Formats: sequence, structure tokens, C-alpha cells
Amino acid sequence: MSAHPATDRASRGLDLLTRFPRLRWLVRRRWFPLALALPLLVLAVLLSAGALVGTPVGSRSGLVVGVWILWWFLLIAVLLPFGARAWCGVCPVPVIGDWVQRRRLTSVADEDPRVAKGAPGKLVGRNRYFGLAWRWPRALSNLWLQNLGFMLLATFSVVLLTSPLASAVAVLGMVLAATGIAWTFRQRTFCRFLCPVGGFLGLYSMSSTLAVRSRDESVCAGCRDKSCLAGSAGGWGCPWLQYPSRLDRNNACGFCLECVKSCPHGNMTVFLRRPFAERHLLGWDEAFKAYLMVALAIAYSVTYLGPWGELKAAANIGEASDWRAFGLYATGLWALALGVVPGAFVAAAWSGRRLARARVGLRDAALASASALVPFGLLVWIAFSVPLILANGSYVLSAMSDPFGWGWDLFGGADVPWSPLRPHWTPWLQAGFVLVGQGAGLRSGWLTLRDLVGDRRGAAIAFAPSALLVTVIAHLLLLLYAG
Amino acid sequence: MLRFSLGSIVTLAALAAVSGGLVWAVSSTGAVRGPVEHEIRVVARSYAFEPPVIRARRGDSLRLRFASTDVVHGFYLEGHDLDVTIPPLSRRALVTRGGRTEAAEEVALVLERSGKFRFRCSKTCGAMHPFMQGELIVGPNRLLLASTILSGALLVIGLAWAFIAPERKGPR
Ligand SMILES: [Cu+2]
Repeated sequence: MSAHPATDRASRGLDLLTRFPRLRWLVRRRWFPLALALPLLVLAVLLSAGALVGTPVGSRSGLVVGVWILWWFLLIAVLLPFGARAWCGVCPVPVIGDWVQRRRLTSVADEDPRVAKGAPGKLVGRNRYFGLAWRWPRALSNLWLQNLGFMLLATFSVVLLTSPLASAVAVLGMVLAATGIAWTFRQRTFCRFLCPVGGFLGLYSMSSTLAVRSRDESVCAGCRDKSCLAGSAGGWGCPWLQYPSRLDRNNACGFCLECVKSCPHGNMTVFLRRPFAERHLLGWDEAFKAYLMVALAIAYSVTYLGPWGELKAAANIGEASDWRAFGLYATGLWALALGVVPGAFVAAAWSGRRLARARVGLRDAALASASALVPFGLLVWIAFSVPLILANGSYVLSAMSDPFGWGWDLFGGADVPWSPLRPHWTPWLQAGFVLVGQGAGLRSGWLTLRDLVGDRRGAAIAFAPSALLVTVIAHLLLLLYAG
Repeated sequence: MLRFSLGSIVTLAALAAVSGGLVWAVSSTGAVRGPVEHEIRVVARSYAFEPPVIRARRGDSLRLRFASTDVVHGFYLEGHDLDVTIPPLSRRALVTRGGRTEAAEEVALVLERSGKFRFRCSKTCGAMHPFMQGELIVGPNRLLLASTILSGALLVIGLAWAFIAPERKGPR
């Protein structure tokens, strides 16, 4: 499909569903992964409702601690690197919207388009949907809105991270928005083009060790009914608006596993593969996602993990409301994420291309260089998140035992005092993650440029300025984390 | 795809050995002065400590006094079994060490381990409380030196390897 294979097809890895028949049985159940998403929806709504009326103290609120310590750490350090967008498969946010579109929980509305006429709803492929089922505008079918949404959330991160009320409004707002968009637009339009979390999950899932792919291309080539696209009695046509049999990158695959169920040939499966396998970014929207995520990781490391009180005060608009200081902080954040970091990397790609005398466009060179920021960004975010769990992990037990601050003791940990878990390991782990990210990033950037330029020496020269920039950022982070 | 040849493994091992030796050498040369006692008054306010960074060398000792200018804060020192409760407008703090808590005006501490140790507020003091922290950096900071050298080496060796190693045959 794309000009360059994102992963070499020969090394797709271990076919988990063939290797583990029990896993295949589970994955092919209609109630999976909904059976995980539904309880999570109940939990999210309960914790959010509790946060609206319960304790205003962030570190005692079940929602704040559950989302911003437990969920965030599991997401960035476990689910994303090892499970790609597995979170999206169990995410509670779109569950109600799915029902609005399908009006059924587990079964599939599968019909023959030639026979089914005049019934309510709308046929898309062979599946009947309710709601308006509009197409999302082409001009917005990219990551730009997600980039914007994430920047907005990132600007007010202190309020989100510390205020149960703000977190509840954010969670419930996401559920409402996803439901409204599901009624208006077809399938998982919200997840694809609007969810602020989905943007970086898609980008970093390229580095993940898990991938949904077809098993045998020749089976797909001879396939007539294209059930993975159009749906079948076994499953809905891809809700993520992908053509599953031709998937060669993880970005837009939400691990709903419908294609595994809908394929009548059992040809869709889940592969376990080596990390950092996908490298090619396809547009400026993806490159900017990579730039701004690295920029925000630096900014957050300085603000949240640094010793500088003035910066924390400036970012802390919920409490201090010094709008001038906050304005400066926000301006700095946006300038760094959308100006300085992208500008530096584009300039590096430009100069590398000049040095190597490579006959490639600036856009192509910049996108190829930015592929270094996929593994690097992911590992830097993991490094940033280490102290969340090592220093503040004990809040999970206490806050989950008394999630609303009403004096409950569900798990017998309500009175457990704040007790850090090996916090002095933090700098070591952080330095390790930064170095692994730098190494994997340098390798990705160079390999991608080699695909573009054609020869390894030319690629090395063209990549050198960007590689230097990645290394400078790595040094900066090492200084922050370990110095 | 990158496959690790014997040559690249030997190179990496040699690199690790050289950088390790270098770190040891550089970090040991500065250690000629004798131990020093640092007297430091730690002032806590929402949400920062003053001084934000305390620098010392292994073998030095700290004599810490505490004060808070607003509400009750804590001073939990990572890796040192020390947790202090700092009441506002008082010289006396509640010091917890070795499982015992007692009121004291001063805490003495011998720095036996080098590295970076954050001190964190341990008493919920407001919205940003979980991020209220400062740093005790005890030299020689071998982790910083080693990781910085490794990071630089990754760049240099990586680019050199990409440049020198033979073109790989085969389909792409
Ligand atoms: Cu405090």
C-alpha cells in the first residue's frame, strides 16, 4: 500500500494466535474485549462521579490517583511498549458510542446489501449502523486536531493532575464527546481523529512489540468478501476505518480485534515482534506529534521533576492563579513544542540533506529524521513516569481504599502513609531508559534515511545533525534526571 | 535489520570498558580533599525547598535545620531513612529515623553513598504537593558521568559504524 514497507514482511514475528490456541479462543469471543471495557466504564463513571462530590485533595482522590498514577504508568510503561494500542481495545470512553451506533452489545448486525432495504439505520458494507454515520471531513483526517487537543490539555496539566474535579470533567467530557461523535460520524471517528490520547498512542505503537496483521497475504489476495473491511456475521467491518488485511503499520489499529473475528479464513492474527520495528512517518502531522511529545517530556521533566518552585508556581494555575506567570509558562510551552523543537529538527534535517548532497525533498528528509523521535520519545516518557510509581505509588493503595475521601477502607490501605518504593533507584532507571531510547532512536533515524537516500554513508551524513540533536536532548535529560 | 556481529559486540565491550575506566579515573581525582561539614537551613514553602539543590561529596556530613514559611511540610530524603515533619513558624521539627520519632532542632547526617537523592515533601500540603522536591547530589556522581559518556559514545560509534561498515547485500 505505502511506497516503503513499514516493517519487512519476512520478519513479522511470532503468530501468537496460532501458537496459543487458548488465546485465539479468547480473542474470537464476541464479548472480548468488551468484557474488560464495560467494567472499566463503570469504574470510570463511579470514580468520576465520586470526584465531583468527594475530596478535593488530588493525592487522596481515587480518580486522580487511579488515572494519573496507576493508569498512566501502566499505559506508557507496559501497555504501549508491549501491547501497542491494546488500551484502545479496552478503553471505556467509546463504549456507549459503540452501542449508540450498533444498538447491540456483542452481536453483529450483518446483512446482505441486496436484500436489506428500507430498514432503519444505514448499511456500511454489510453492517447496519444507527445515527447519522457521516464521513469525517478529509481535511481533518489526520493528527492535527489531536495535536491541538493534546497541547491544550498539556497546558493545563497541573489542574488535571491535581484537581479531582478537573479530572472528572475531563473523563466524563471525553465519554460525552465520544458518544456525540459516534452518533454523528461513522465508527471510531472520535478515536481516530479527536481523542487526544489516541494521537500519541498511535505514534508510539509503532515501536511496540505487538501487531495485528494478516497471516498469509496470498489468502487475502484470493479473498472475495473482504469481511475485515465490510464486516461479516463474525465481526464488524474495521471500526477504525482501516483495511485490516493490508495493515502494515500500527498507528491506526485500535486492537478491537473485530478483524480477527470477522475474517472467514482465520487469516487475521496478532504477532509478537521485535521492538522499534516500524519507522516511517507519513506526514507533518505525525512528525509534529513526535516533536511536541519530546518537547513536552522535556518541559514536564523540568516542571514536575525539577527542584524549581517558581516554575511549579507558574504552571499551577488552578491554585495560584497568577495569570501573568501562567501566561509566560504557557507561551514557553507552546513555543518549545511547536516552534523550538520542530524548528531545530527541521533545520537539522535541512543541513543534513545539504551535507550529504542528497537529492531528496526537505519534507521527506525531515520525516525520516523524525522517525528517531518515535523510540526516543516513548522511552523518554517512560523515564519521566518512573518516579510517579517509585515515589508516589503508595497513593494508589490509600486512595483506592478510600476513593472519595469519605472514610471508607475498601482494601485495608486507607491509612497507609505515603511510603515511597525504592525511590533512589529512580535516576538509574531513568538514565537507562534515556540511553535505550537514544540508541534505538539513532538506529531508527539512520535506517529510515537509508531507505530514503539509498546508501548507508549518505544516510549517516544526512542524519548526523539530527543525531547530534537527539544526543544533546539525551544529555539534557540525563542532567535533569541524574545530575 | 541490525544484527550484532562479533565485531560490534567486541567494540561495544571495549567501549564499555574504556568509558568505565574513564569514569572511575575522572570521578576519583576530585576526591583528594577531606570531608567537610555543611550547615544548611532548609526552608520549605508551597511547593519548593530553599536551597533547591544541596551539593556535597561522599564522606561529608550535613547539619540540617528546618523551617516552614507557610503550612506543615515534610522532608523525606530518598535512600537515607530520614523523614522530617516541619511545622510552620517553629524551630523544632519532628524527626523520624530508624523507626523513632522525636522533636529536634537539628539533624546530623554523614553522607556515605554518592549519587543523586531527591528530598520530597512528605506531608500533603496542597495541589502540587506530590511534586514538591529538592535534590541532594553527593559527588562523585558516577551515574551522570557514565551515562553522559555512554550517550556521547552512542552517537560517535553509531555514526562511525554506519559510515565504515560494509554495505549489506540483499533485498530491502
Ligand atoms: Cu509540602
